[in-house]
Amino acid sequence: MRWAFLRSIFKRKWAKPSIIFFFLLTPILLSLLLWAVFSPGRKFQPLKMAVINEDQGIASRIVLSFLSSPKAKKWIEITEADREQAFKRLRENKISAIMVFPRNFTENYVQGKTTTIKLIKNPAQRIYPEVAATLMLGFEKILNFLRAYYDEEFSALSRGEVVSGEFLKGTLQKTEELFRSIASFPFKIREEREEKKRLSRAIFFLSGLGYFFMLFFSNASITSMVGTRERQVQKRLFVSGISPFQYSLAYHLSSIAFVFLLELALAAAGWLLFRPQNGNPLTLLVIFLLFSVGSVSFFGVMAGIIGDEKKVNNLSSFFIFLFAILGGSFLPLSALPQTLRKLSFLSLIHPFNQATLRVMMGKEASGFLLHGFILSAALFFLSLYLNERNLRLK
Amino acid sequence: MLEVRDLEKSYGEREALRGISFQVREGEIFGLLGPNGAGKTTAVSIIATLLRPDSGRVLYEGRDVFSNLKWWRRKIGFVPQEMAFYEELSAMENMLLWASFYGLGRKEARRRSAEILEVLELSHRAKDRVSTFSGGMKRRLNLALGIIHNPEFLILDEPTVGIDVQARVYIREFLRELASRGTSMLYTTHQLEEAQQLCHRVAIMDAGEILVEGKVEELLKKAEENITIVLRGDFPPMETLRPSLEKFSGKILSFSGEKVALEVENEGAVAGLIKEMLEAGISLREVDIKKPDLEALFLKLTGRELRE
Repeated sequence: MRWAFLRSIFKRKWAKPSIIFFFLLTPILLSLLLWAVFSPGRKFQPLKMAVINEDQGIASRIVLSFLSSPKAKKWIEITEADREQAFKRLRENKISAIMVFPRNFTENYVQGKTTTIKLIKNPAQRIYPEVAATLMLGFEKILNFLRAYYDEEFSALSRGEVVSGEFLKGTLQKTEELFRSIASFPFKIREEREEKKRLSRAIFFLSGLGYFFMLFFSNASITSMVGTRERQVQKRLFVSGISPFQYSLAYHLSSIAFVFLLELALAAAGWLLFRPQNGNPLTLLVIFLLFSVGSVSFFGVMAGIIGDEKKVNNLSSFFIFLFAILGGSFLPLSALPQTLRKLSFLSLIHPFNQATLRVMMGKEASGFLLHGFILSAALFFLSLYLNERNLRLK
Repeated sequence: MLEVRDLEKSYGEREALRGISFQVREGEIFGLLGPNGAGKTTAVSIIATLLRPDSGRVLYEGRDVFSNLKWWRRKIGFVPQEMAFYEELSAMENMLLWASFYGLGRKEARRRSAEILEVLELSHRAKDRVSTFSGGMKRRLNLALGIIHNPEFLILDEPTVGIDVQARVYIREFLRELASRGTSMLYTTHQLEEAQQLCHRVAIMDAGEILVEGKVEELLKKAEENITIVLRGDFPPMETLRPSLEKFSGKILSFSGEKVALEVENEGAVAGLIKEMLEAGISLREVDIKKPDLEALFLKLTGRELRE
C-alpha cells in the first residue's frame, strides 16, 4: 500500500470544507426543523370530569376546592352536576370520567374509616379515564395521609369539639401542596412519552436524511476517479510506478475513510442535539463503516462500468433518490405503498437505516447488519476489480 | 540510447501510428514535430509505457521497455501535455508525493524538491495551493514533477502549450541546461520555433508517419533549397490556373479555391507569378513568402501548414 498516495487523496477530499460543512449541516437542520414542527411542546387537553357530590362535607370540599383552583385547571376541568346530567355528558363523550363522593364520605373520613372516591370511566376513551383513575387513587392516598397526620384534630372534630383555625388552614395548605404534585404527575409521564416520540422521530429523520446526504458524498468522492482531471494525473502516476491496483485500492480506501468520518461527524452532532438514551456506539460505528464501504463501492461500480464522471453523476442522482425513497429516508417504510415496501431490499440505504433505527430503539439489528455486510463486501470487491481492470495498460 | 522500431498503433479504424522509427542518443534533445493529430502523443504514450503498441518495439540500452517495465519507469521522467498534479495540494506537497513514488527518503525528497522549485522560480510559492498558481507556474510545476528523481531520460509532451512567451523561454533554457548535464529528451511540439531552438535533431510527423528526420541544420538547408509561398484569394479552377502556376513554379504543393501553396526557384519567379495573376483578374488577398524554416519544410512535405 502506498500510504503517501492514500494520504494525499484523502487530504484532497477536504479541499472545500465550506461545501462539506454545508452538506453536513443540512440533514441536521432538517431533522431539527422536523423535530420542532412535529408537536412542538404539544399541550394536552385537560382531563374533563363531572363531579357528583353526594357528600357536601368538608373532605369532599377540600378535594373539590383544589380541583377548581386556577392552578389545577391546567390539567383538570371539573363540573359539578347531578347524576342525570353527569351521565348524559358521559354518554355524549364530553367527559372522560365521573367522580362520585359518596354520601358519608366526610363522616367516614373524619372518623378515620377508609374513604373511597367512586370513579365511573368513559368506556369510549382510552387514556384519559386511566389518568383520572390514577389521580383518584392519589387523592385517596393524600386524604388518608392527612387523616393520619392530623389524627388528634380530626378525632376532636369527630367528637364534636371545636378545633383551631390554624389546623384548618394547615390542612388546606398541605392538601393543596400534595394535590398539586400528584395531579400533574400522570400528565408529566405522558409529556415525557410524547417527548420520546418526538426524539425518535428526529432520530428517524436524521438517520434517513444522513444516509441520503452521505450518498452524495460517496458519489462525489469515488467518481472523481474517472474525471478528466484525475485521468490526467493517472498517466503520470502510472509512469511513476503506481500500479492500477494500488491506485484503485488507495482511491477506494480514502473515499471510504472520508465518508466514514463525515458520518461520524453527523452522528456526533445528532447525539449532542438529541441525546438519545439507546444505541450501542460500537454497533453504530460498524453500521457506519459498512455503509461507507457499500455506498462508495456502489458508485465505484458505476464508475467502473460507465467510465465517465459526468455520466455517472447524472445517473447517480436517480439512484440516490430511489434508494432514499425505498430505504425510508423521507418516510417510514410503513408509510410506503405495499409494492414499494417489497422493493426496499433493493435500496442501498435500507439495511443500514433500519439497523441504525433498531439500534437506537435498543433493539437487535443483526439481520440488517448481515445484509449490509454482504452487500458492502460484494460491491467493494466488484468496484475494485472493475476500476483496476479499466486502468490496466492497454 | 532509445530506439523506436516500426511502431504501429490504431484506435479502431483510425491508424494513429504507421510504423514510425527513430533513435534518441544520449544527452540529445530529440524533437517530434507535427500538427495536432499527427500521432506525437500516441508515440510518446507508448514510449512512456502508457499504451501498448499494436506492433513494433521500444528499446532502451538494448532492452525492451515493455519487458522491463519497472526498470524503464525508474529511468524516465514524464511531463505530459496536461497538468498532471493535484491542484488541492501545495507545490511542495506534490513534489514530496511524487518523490515518495520514486523511493526518495524524506530528507532527500525535501532537499531535491526545494532545489528544483528554486531553479524553476517556484520556491516562494512552494507552500501555496497549486490551484492559486498562474498558467506559467503550473507548467513549471508540471515540469518539476517530471524531474524530481533526476531521470536519465525525459519525455516531454508539448510542455509549453498555452503559456506566455516568457515562461516558454524560461522552460526552454532550463531544458537546455538539463541536456547539457547529460539528460536525454524526447520533446514533442507543434511549434517549429521551439523545435528549431531547442532540439538537436527533429523528426517531422504527419498522419502517423515520420516524413523527414535529421539535424535541425540539415533540415533547414532542405527548406532553403526553394522559396515556399502561400497565396490566398479567390482562385478559378485548377485547370484554368495551372498554366500560369506551372510557368513560374517549380512545384504546386497544394491547391484549393482560396489557397495555393507553391515552391518556386527564386524571388523573381514570385514577382512574375503575382503580376500574371493580377493581370488575369484574380483577386489576391494575401501573399505569404515563407522563411526557410521547418514550417516551410513541413509545407513542402505535406502541402499543409503546421497550424492547419
